[in-house]
Amino acid sequence: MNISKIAIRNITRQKKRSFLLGGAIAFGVFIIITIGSFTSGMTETLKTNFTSIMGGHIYILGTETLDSGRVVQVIGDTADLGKAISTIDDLVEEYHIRSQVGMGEIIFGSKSTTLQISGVDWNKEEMLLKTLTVTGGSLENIDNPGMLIIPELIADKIGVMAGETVLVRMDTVTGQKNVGEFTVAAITKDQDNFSFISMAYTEMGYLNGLIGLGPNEYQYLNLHLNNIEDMDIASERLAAELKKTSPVDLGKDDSDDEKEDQRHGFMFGGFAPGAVEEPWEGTKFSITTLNDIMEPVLQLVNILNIVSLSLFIILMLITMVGLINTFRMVLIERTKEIGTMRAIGMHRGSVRSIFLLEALFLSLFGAFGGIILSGVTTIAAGLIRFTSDSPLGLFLNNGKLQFITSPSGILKVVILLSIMTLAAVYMPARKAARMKVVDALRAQY
Amino acid sequence: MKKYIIGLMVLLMVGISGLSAISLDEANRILATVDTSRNFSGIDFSAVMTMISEDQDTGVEKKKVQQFRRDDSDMFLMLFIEPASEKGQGYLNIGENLWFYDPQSRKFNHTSMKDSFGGTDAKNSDFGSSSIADDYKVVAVKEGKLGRYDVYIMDLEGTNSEVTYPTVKIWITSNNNLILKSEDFSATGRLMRTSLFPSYANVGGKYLATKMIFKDELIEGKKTQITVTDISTKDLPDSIFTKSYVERVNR
Repeated sequence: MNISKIAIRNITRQKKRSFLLGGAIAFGVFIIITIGSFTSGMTETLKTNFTSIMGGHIYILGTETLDSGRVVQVIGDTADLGKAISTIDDLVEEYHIRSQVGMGEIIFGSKSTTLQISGVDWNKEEMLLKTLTVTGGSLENIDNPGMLIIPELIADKIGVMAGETVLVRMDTVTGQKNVGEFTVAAITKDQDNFSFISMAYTEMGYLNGLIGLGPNEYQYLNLHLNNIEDMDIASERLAAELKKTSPVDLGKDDSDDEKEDQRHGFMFGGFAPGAVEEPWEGTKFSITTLNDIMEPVLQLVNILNIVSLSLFIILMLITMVGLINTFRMVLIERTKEIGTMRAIGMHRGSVRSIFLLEALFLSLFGAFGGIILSGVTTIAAGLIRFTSDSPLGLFLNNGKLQFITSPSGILKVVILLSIMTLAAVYMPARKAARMKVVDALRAQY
Repeated sequence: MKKYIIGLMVLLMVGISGLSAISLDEANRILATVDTSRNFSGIDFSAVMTMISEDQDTGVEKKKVQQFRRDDSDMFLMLFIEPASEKGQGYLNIGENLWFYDPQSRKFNHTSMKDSFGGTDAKNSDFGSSSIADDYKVVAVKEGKLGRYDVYIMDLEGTNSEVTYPTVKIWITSNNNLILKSEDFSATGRLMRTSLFPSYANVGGKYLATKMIFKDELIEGKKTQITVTDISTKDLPDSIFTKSYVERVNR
């Protein structure tokens, strides 16, 4: 107890020096915790946004080849898929069937802009309905053919209001040009400000008619799982079952860039389906999970985390060199004091502990300062509202950046810092402990 | 009685003028000659196209594109020369594959012949070899006038579900089978685009539209006018129709 008190008192003896050392440590801790919080928040936001916009965690896309060799997106015969799906029924919370216009152009008078339209079965889209915040019109008649729900961003761009009629230029599944007439039923708040995709929704049957699909056909089956952790298990079980009857592609198997681009193009619009080298019989299913889509982002996050950890270690190494030098000076300054303490009965181990504890407390105070600073910064940054067309749109949650600071992440940083500090101060501490009492008392400095 | 006879004659004349002067088979044969007269078989072709796009929203934009065509091998290359922000971008078509090259990302991406050409009202397919007789069949034909030209007005229907526009109406000069105007309709029957070809040049025995106007019928005031100049039928080196050439011109 006395040792701890002495260590803390020693820190306050040289306030300026302690403040500078603690400040350097605080800065390092601030950097790593802030970047860590940012990347965690970014990953989580992205996962939430993708889940919301894609309507689930596992996405099953069906493709068929025409006689001409052209690939079209359609799931017509659902028997095999239904059988395979039933094997993971226990893991699934909701099923969403959808058809889609990847790159539509909504036109109102002389104004137009691109958008993505999902054709949905409103009777099975409880989750989606919960996420839609209506700012104009109503969701009352949305299951009527030709009713369209558009985000605010789109409505503002083309200057349309609820109840007005718009045209949408689109391609059919075989690539023909078509135009559909829609009535804007409702204008909704931009979905989680997910501004890089402007998603509109309409009743699936009407959209199917425009893109050349039959009334009971669809393009995607998206599965919303009870537990997101089951994503890989569910997709593997589903693929294994489906492979018994149909050709199956897995998102994680995409090794070449072009194939991956094609898959993402199919999902997010903009990809021109073309001829394939080897046509297949029936429907080929592609199973993609949220993890597959997130992979490039997760790689980026990992790189960012490695960079911030490296930066932290470099900063800490520099600080530790300062710490070693400081404690060497402390050793010289306190030689007589050490001799006196040893003369009145203090053990070698206690002298060593005073040095080590002093450095450890200094680091912990610094770390505490860094954590507080990071907390204040992330809270302040989290309050900034970005415009919906911001390049950060992909990472925004309701127009704001999200920071997630995990206690375990902080603990890891503190432990790493403590180990580095103790290692750095160990040599001066050992030297102080091994000092002979007589030599220490006799010292002239 | 005289009144009835005159009335009957007027009715007959109106009726006759409404009837097609040529049969559908004959009209389909004319359609085939359109392809023959527009495709540069046996020779290479190059030109510079100046595109002026008007849009109430974005104003007037000018683009200049160098075009290289080898119809025999179903190949073309379109390289953007102007504006500076788009310089080096290109569309390379080899057979069934059409790529768009972006010098910023240095990547080739697959695109479709049905897509808009560089954001204009023209389609990529407007600049390749013509295959109208393969893609469409005549379902109705009548004679008429477009300005001072005698024309056949033909209603065309796609022969398959993959043609860009399911139905098209074209005005073809009756003396030399040149398309002067076309109207492209969506699958729901709505007029989407009107194209006008007011002037042609005879290049090596083939007809080339030297002025084209594409009007977007869905967006008010949106149109693109294309003028073709610096036309040449000199042989082009094979290397032009390669990805490495497109990359090389951007170095």
